[in-house]
Amino acid sequence: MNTYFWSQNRYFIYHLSTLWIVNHPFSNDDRLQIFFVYGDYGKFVREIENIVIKEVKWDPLEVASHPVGLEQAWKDLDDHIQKQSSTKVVGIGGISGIGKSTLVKHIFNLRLSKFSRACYLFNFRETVDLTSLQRQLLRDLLGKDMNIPNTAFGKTILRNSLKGLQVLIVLDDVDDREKIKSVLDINAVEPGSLIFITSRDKDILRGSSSNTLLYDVKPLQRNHARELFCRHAFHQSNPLEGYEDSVEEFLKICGGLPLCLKVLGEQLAGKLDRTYWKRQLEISSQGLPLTEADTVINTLKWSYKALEIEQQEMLLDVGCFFVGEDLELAVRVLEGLGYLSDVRNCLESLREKCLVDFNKDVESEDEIGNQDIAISEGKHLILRAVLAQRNSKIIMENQVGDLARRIVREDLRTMDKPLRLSCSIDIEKMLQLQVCAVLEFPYTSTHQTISLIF
Amino acid sequence: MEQVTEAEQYQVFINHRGPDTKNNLASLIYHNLSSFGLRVFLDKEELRTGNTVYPAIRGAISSASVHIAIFSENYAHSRWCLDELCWILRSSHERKVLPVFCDVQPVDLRYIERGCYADAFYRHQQHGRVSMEVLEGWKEALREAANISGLLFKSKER
Repeated sequence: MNTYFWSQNRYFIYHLSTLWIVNHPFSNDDRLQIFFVYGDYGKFVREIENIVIKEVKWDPLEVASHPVGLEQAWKDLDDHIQKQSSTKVVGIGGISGIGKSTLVKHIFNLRLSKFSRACYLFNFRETVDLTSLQRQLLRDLLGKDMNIPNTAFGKTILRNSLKGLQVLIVLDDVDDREKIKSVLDINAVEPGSLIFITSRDKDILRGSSSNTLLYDVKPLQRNHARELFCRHAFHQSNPLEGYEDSVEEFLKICGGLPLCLKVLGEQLAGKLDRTYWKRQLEISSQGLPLTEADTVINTLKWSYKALEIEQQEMLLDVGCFFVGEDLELAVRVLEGLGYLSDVRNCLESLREKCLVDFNKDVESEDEIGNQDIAISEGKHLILRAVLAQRNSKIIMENQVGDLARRIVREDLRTMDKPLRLSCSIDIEKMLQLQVCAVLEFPYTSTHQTISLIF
Repeated sequence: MEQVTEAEQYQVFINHRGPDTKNNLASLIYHNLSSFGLRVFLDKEELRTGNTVYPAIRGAISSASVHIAIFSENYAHSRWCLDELCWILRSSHERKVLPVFCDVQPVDLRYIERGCYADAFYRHQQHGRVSMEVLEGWKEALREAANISGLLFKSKER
C-alpha cells in the first residue's frame, strides 16, 4: 500500500508496513521525513540539493580583521527589518568607508539562517558586463552554469528559476538604478526573500523598489572607534600607556569612519615612537596627503569622481567653507558664485550621495552638518584626496575660531588655466558686510597674493 | 588517533559504492552540488589501498560538514564503504549525515541477517579477513545510519 502525504516539511512520506519512525538528524522534529520517487533522478537530486545546501557549512566571506561594533550595527538593522515584516529590499546607505560592505558581508555570512540560497555580487559598480552578474546569480542561487547572451534573456531565466525560492541577494556598491533593473527584476523575487543593496546614493536605494527599507550606517561610537583604532595600532583594545592623548587626536581626525581608523591605525602599528606619532598626527591633521593611506584616498576618491563637474566644485566649496554653517547662508553665497545648476537641488543631491549632511539644530535651523565630526572629517579626507590627485597643495588655516577656514587651492599643473580662489573669513563678519567675494585671476608665479575683496 | 594528513578541505563527502552508483546517482549529486561552487568529495576506488580508510579520504571526511551515504544493493560488499561509514559516524559530534537508501530499505540496515546485506556480511565472515569485532562495528554503524532519517530512492520497480 502506497500512501502519499504532504508533510509540512515538503517531503513526501512513503508509507510502508515496514516503516520505522526515524529522527531527522538536522532538526528536533520527530516526524518521519522520507522522500520517495520512482526513478526520477532529477527530482531526487534536487531534493538532496535542497537539504545539503541548507546544512552545509559555506565558506564565509572575509569580513574584517577586527569586527568592532559590527554585531551592534547588525542588531540595529535587524530590529528595523523585523519591524516591517514585508521587507524585501533593504537599502544600506552611508558615505564611503563607513562600513556598508563590511556590514552586509557580516549579514551574508550569517545567512540569516533561513536562506540557504544566497548570492553576493561584489563590485556592482565596476562590472560592465551585466550578464556576468546574472550568470553569477544563477550559479550561486541555483547551481546553473550557463552562457547568457544578453541581459533580457538572463532576466527571463532568473525570473522563471527564482519562483518558489526564498533567496538572499546582496548587491554591493550600486551606482546606477537602471543597472539593477537590467540585471534583476526585483518584483519577480519571491516574497520572503531579502535583497540588500548598498550605495552611497540614497536616491538609488529609494528608487530600487516600492517599499525599500532604508538604513543609514552610522559612524562608529566613540568607544568602538577607539577600540578599532587601538586594535590596529597596538593589537589590543586599549591604547598603550603614554599614547592616550595621541589616540584621542587621531580619533578626532578619523571621526567614526572605520576605514580611516583602520588605515591610520595600521600605519602606526608597531611604530612605538612618540615623535613618529607626533609627526603623523601633524601630517594627518594638516591635510597633506598621507602616502600610506592610499586606501582611504582611493576609496574616497570614488565619492568625488562619481559627481558631475558642478557638483564636484560645489562639494569643494561646501567642504572648504560651509561645514557647520547655516544652510540658507550657504545657498546664498553659492548662488553668488555663478553655478549653472540650481544650488539647492545640487546640495540636495550631494546630500543624497552622503557627501554632505544637513543637521537639524536644536533651534531647528538647517545647517550643513557639523554636529557629527565623522561626516565633516570624512569630507575633508575626500577633499584631501581630490586635491592630492590633482597634484595640488592645500593650505588650511584656522583663522577666526572654528568657523572660518581658509583654503587656497593652487593648481600647480595647469599653469595657464585661471585659478579660482575662494576665500571666506568669519561668517558673522561676512554677514555684516553682506558680501562674499570670489576672485578669479590668472595664475602668477608668485603665489603669495591671497586677497580678499569686499 | 592516527595522523591525518593535510588534505584538501571539502564541504560535502559522498560515501557510496562505486560500481552501484558511480554512473548515476552519486555522480549526479556530485555534479549538482559542485555547480554551486561547493567542494564535494566523491571518493575514487583508486585511492583505496591497504586495510584502513586512506588518509586523504579521512581528511576529506573530517573536513566535510555534510556527509551523504548512499546505501545501494551492493554497498555492504565493499569493506571500504563500511570503513568510511564507521569513520564518518565517529568523526565528529556535529556531523550531518544524510543517508540515501537507494533500492534498499532502512530495515535492511537494521537487521542485517534478514536484509539484503546478509549475503555480503556472510562473505566477509567466510573470508575471515576481518575480525568479529570489525564486523560488529560495521553492523552497528549501519544500524546507526538507519536511525537517521534520510531519503528513499527506487531506481527500478520491484
